[in-house]
Amino acid sequence: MNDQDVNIRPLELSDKMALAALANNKKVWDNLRDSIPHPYHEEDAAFFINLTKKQNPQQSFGITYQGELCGVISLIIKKDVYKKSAEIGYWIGEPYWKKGIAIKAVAQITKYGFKKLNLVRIYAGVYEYNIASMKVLESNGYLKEGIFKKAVIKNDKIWDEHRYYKLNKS
Amino acid sequence: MIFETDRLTIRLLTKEDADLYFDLMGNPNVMNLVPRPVMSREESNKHLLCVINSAPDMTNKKVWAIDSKIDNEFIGICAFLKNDDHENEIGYRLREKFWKKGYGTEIARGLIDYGFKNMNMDLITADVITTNLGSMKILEKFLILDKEFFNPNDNCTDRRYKLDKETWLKRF
Repeated sequence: MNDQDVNIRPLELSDKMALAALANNKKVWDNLRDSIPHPYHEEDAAFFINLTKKQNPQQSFGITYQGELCGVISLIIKKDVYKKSAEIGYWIGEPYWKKGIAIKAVAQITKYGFKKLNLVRIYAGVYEYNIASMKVLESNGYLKEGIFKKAVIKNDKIWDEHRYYKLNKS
Repeated sequence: MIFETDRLTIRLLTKEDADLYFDLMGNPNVMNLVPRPVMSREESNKHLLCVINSAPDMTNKKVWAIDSKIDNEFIGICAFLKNDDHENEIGYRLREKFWKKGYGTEIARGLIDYGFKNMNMDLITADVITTNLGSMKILEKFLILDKEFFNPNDNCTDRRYKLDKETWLKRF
């Protein structure tokens, strides 16, 4: 894979159909928060895209692979005393799994968070069964900060949440 | 392959179908009978990609490719979807050069049979715009007219045809 194969860019309403096709997948949703709709319709995609268009600064991006929209990545900037921290979250559509796309997308948004948004800290919470996502973070120099025991209920089961962080070195 | 009829093979779509998919979706003679706007090449490519990328177990819309066994060419698409009453609906679109050869009848019969026998459906419906006389003729061979109604989504008058499993199995 070329470095140029993966890019992040703002979402547009024309991405609505492609976004819904990829997001409407139980295997994707299993790794995400319950606030993300399931099943996921085109109206849900339109709602989300409009939300991201109001962000200032931009915090959510579409991920493209060879020009095709293949997922979404966000830095959610925290408020109050946590305003120099952001939580990173991302998902890749199933047809695009196991290509190393998430590693490159996380690298790009992490750089954006530290260089452009001047964040001090970016962190992530990963459900215990999502080993692929842990590897993505570790490949990008994120360190495991600890395990939040039984912090999550997903699909009616209790799970540990693995917490990762990366600090701005500059 | 998903299923086959005498002259047709029904399979999943792939990116290699892009050229002929656009021959279908970019042809006003085809799209006016749906009726849907004619797609640009870019829109057609995007639409195809969405169909390919949809998780098969999640979507309530299955769109498949139809190949002719005779010349091994992509002749169009067929689909199972849900109508506004959440009933199973069949649909098909054929490239213009394959019209008037009985393929519409063959794919309609194939979809109905597959739906009842392999997808465990109890009822199958089809909606058609009242100006699409060819398709109405096809559907009337198998299904029973249920109602004529205004379709606000496509701003046209449609006919809805229906068929239940018991009637189908008795007839064929």
